[in-house]
This record gives sequence, structure tokens and C-alpha cells, in this order.
Amino acid sequence: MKRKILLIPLALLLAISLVATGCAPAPEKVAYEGYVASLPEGCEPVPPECFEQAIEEGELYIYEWAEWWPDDIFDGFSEEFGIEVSRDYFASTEEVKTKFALYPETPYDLVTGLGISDAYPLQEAGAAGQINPDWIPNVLEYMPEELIEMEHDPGMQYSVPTDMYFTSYVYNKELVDDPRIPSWSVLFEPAEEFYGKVTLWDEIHEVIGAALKYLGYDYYSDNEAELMEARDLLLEVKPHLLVFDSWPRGLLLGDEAWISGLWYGDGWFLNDEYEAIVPALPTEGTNLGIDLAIHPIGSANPAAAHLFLNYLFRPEVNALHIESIWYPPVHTAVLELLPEEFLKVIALPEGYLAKCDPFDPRAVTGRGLELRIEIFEELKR
Amino acid sequence: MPRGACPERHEILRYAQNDTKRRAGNDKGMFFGSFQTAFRIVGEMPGNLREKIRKYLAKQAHLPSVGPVSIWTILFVIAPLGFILYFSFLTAGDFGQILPIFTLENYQALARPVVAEVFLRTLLFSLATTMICLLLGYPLAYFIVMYGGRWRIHLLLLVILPEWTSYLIRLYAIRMLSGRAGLINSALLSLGLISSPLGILYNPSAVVLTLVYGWLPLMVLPVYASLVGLNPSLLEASADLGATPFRRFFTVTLPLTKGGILAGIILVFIPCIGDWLVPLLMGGTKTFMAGNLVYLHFISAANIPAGSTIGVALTAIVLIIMYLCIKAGGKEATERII
Repeated sequence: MKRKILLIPLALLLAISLVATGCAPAPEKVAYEGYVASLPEGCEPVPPECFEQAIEEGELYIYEWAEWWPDDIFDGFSEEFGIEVSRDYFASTEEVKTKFALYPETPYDLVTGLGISDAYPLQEAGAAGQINPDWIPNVLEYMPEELIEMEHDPGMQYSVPTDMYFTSYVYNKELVDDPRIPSWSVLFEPAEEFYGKVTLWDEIHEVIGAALKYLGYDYYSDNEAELMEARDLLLEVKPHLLVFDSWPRGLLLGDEAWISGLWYGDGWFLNDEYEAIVPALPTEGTNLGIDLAIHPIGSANPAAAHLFLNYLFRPEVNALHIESIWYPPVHTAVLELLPEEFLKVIALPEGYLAKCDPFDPRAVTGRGLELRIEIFEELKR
Repeated sequence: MPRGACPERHEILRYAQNDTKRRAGNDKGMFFGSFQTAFRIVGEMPGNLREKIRKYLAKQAHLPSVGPVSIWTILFVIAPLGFILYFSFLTAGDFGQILPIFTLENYQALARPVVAEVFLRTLLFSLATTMICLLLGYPLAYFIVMYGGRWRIHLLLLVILPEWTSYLIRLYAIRMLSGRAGLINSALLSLGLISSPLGILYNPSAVVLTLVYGWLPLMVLPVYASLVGLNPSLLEASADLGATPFRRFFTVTLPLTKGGILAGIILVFIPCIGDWLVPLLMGGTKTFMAGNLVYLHFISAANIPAGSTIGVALTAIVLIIMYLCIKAGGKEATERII
């Protein structure tokens, strides 16, 4: 009897919550005219058919890096359009490639934070859906021409650049005093006192590309002799490494790692949290990385995905994005919205871009990829 | 009688084995129990009808107990293994696609020295972990059974309790405790026992000890179960026949708990051999295990057929070890695992 008495309020509670959910007022539909009128100056609206379809879809599924893009961007989008955003996270872009290799029609509407070496194989494998340029006028308005016409995806048919990145390293300025900074040699030929305090990325392209660059070769080289030289360098440094870890935040904050291979923007991101961690932009140069968003073929909400991309390229939204992730923007009008102190930090030295290698598909296909996998396996064994 | 000769040992063991069989026979579980009741009711019915129903029930008796387990096993064990086996014979495309082109190259690639080296290290780490678990787990289970008294269940609960928390969270907790700025190093430093923080993590010992921490309950539980099932009169009989406690342990207790020990060995060894998280989080650059090699090919290289082949080889090793253990441990080892 006691059980029954307990069950009655529980059943009532369940019934009330079900009724309440069912009777909850549906979010008010946003009108196209209202949307156009509320757009900030200089921003282009999506066409009415995209807008109506996106509102009808009402959902957006995003697959992205954990702990990266700020919540405010997604909250602002949901609030303005009444579209519910669901976010799934990955721990490395390599996971994304495997997921889509197993099931190319994985139903995400957008996958963000992919480097070209990740997005290009997905595009070639047919997992990236076509982007409708007519539905992203704001992106076209603020995207530099050279990024629209990149060699791997001319006309931005399958991917949209969102920010730039540079593979670099960070060091703890209170513990590391090495006159060679900011050369790659600090990382690949560490001084004896830093043995066991160095970490390298746990990613094939970064670890091998950076070693190639230190040796004076192209970051994306597929030349066997050059790659073997990079392998020898990496095998020499391996005994002095602490771990392979692409996001050694805990190790750096806990003073376990003193020098770590990391992306430049993430270096500043950590510096914001712990002032002793300072990023170094290598003297020898690095890669010119572009982060991309793709729109997978399995997407069930294509209009919402386009509406979001268009929203992301509003200058104030993009500024919010850049300010949170500390990566240089691709948006042409966002620099003027960023604080001067911030700009000083992310600005590159004069002429530095000339030392950076743009993406080359030779690294992610054929012999270039095979050799990289062999080297990485030998390094990790 | 000379010290520890105990000539009746064989008779005691035979009795114990029969005793174990008798107990196992009584323990038929819920489904078999209910069918027994059904048979009894049918037994009281008149002739023809009774015979028909009895035959029908005899045919269906295994279904309720085997059916759900079989479906579960087919869906979540056989089918995924089938997919992995299927993928292992396919070819990877230039961009990570799985192409339906049959090949044996993935299996030929298993002959690389790197695979042998990583598998050997994995076996060594797993063996070390299992042995340490046995050396710690058996005395612990023995202590709980023999001296636990009314606190026996509470003590057993303490062994199981950490298992209720996520494995990953526990690993991060160990990392925080054992790091250079962690609680252990801070305590030792403040007590003046060390002058600089110890490098506890990121080496092979850290991997083995963390594996021991993670899987020790799986050794304690089957050993505990076999010790609880031990007939105390056998121990009394061997004592009466002049066996010393030491002799009694090695001639009666240990042989009679062999099934539990082998079950514990299987239960600890199998997760160790496939573990990739512990070497990833606790290991340095010299702790790469077979699970990490599968991860490298599956995820880092996005070569699913190559990763599947290594997975198949790993599964084959596990099956061989299981078979050998079950063969050595007999029915009791299988029961303890289940």
C-alpha cells in the first residue's frame, strides 16, 4: 500500500509535466521582414526561401571541438531565430574522419574546426555536401577573395573558412630560458635541462610537418628523403619527451610540461589563463592553416546550417568568436571591432606569412600519407 | 604421521569436487526453477495431456534463459566482431573510405616488427598486471572471507565501490593525485621526505599500477566467491589429519579455489590486453600498447581495414588465452566468470 501511495504523486507529476510540455506555447515564429530589419548595418540577409525553410526545420546539429567556440554565439542564434542548436563534441579531427568513413551520411548539419588536411579528404570521399553560395551572402561579403578561391576547393563549394591557425609551440617563461626561442630547435633539440618536460602533438600532420619545417623543407612535403630526415629527428627527440598530447593544458598548468607543441591561437588562449605560458611563432616559419566548416551530405537541416554560417559572418558575432578562441580571423571587417591589446597579441610579424606553407594535398594522399603513417607508427611504438 | 603428509588429500578433494557439483546442480536460476515447477504441475495431470505438455515444455525449456542472452550476444558481440572481421579483408581508399575490394595485405602487414613489439609489450604489461592483481587480490579476498565476520559484505562493498564511478573520471583523479603538483608529491615534499617532486606518472610502472587499480576488483570477486563456496568441514578434516595451516592452504584451499583464480585471471587479463586509455593518459612515450595501435590506424591514420585487422589479431589472442584458462580451470572457472 505504501508503494501505491508513493506512486500516485509520481504519476501525477509525470502527467502534469507531460501535459505542461504539450501545452507549452510554441516559440513565436520569426518573420522574414523582422529579420531583415533587425540586421546590423552592412550585413546581408539570407534569401526568403532559405529563411522560411530554416525556421521550418527548427533544429541545427553541430559537431565541433570540445571547449572551443563560445556558447554565446549559439545562444544568440537560438534566441534570434528560435532554432534549437544541439552540439556534439570531438576530441580530435581524426575522429571526425573515421566517423564519416564508417558512415558518410552521419546526420550533422555542420562540422566546424576542421583543418584543410581534414576537410579535404572528407570532401574527396563525398561526405561533404555542396554549399549554396546564394544562401550565404554575408559570408561572401566578408570573405577575402583568395580564401574563396583556394586550390583545394575553388568557389567555396564544400567548405567555409572560419579562422586561421599556425602550428607553433608554447613555453613556460618562468622555467625556460633559452636564447634559441622562438626557433623550432627549442622543441626538436631541447636543452638537457628540459629533458622529460617537452610534449609534442599526438597528430600525424602536425608532428611531421613541424619537423619538416624545422629542417627547412615544405610542411606538406611528400619527398621520401626529406620525410626520412624528419623521422630521424623525431626519433632522436623521442627519449626526451614527456608525452604525445595535442592539448597538454593540464600538463602546462601543472608545470609538468615546460615546452609543448601547440597551435599559436591556443597558446594565447592558455596565456590568458596562466600568464607564464607564452606562445612562440617559429623563426623558420610554419604552416598557414585555415579552419573550415563543412556541411555534411547527411544533414537534415540544410537551410538552418546556411542561416548559421551567414549569422557567424556578422562582424560582431565573428568578433565574439575570434576573441574567444584567440585565432586570427578570416573576416575582412572584424579587426576593427577587436580591442587593440588583443590585436597586438594575435598580429603576425611583418612578412611572416611568406614563411608559411599553404596546404598541399600531397601530404594527405598517396605516398605522402603512407610515409607519414609509417613514421608516426615508428615514433609512437 | 610425518608433518604435512595428509594421505587422505585425494579423497578430500574428490568429496569437495562432488560437493561443488551438487551445489551447482541445485542452483538452476530463475528460469530453470520456474520450469521445474511447471514440470511438477504437469506431472499431476492425467495421462495423454500430461505427456504432450511435458514434451512441449521439454522442447521450449531452454528458450527463456537462452533467448534474450543469445539476442544480446548476437547484436552486441558477434555482429560487431563480424563487421570488424569483414572490414579487415577490405581495402582503404585514398581518403579513408572503405572500398569493397578483397585483400589479404592487411594480414600480411601484421608481420611488421612494430606490431610484434607492441603486442609483446601489451602481453608483458597485462601479465604483470594480472600477477600483481592475483598477489594482492587473493590475500584480500581470503582476509574478507576468513576474518570479515559480519563485516564481510561491507568489506566486499568497499572493494566494488570505486567501480561505480566512471573509469575515465578515476583515471583523471589519479593523474591529479600523482602529478608533480599533486597531493602525493605535495605531502612528501612538505614532510621533507623528498627534495623535488617524484616523476610518478608517464612511465611503464604508472601504466601497470593504474591497470592494477582499475581491475583488482575483478580478481577479488571470483576468488571471494570460490572461497565462500569452500566447505569448512574439508579444512577441519585436513587439520584433524595433521595438516599445518600452510600445508592446508596449499593442498586444500588453493586447489579448490583454482576455478576462481583462473576466472580472475581471465577477467583481469582481457581488459588489460585491450586497454588503450591507461597508456594514453598515464603512459609516456614508451608505453604504446596494442589498443593504441588499433586507435592509431583506426583514428589517426583513418585506415579502418588496417585497424580492424589488428583488432582481429588482438581478439584471436584473447580467445586463445580464454580457451587455455577455461580448459585449465574447467567448469568452475566458466561459472565464476559468468
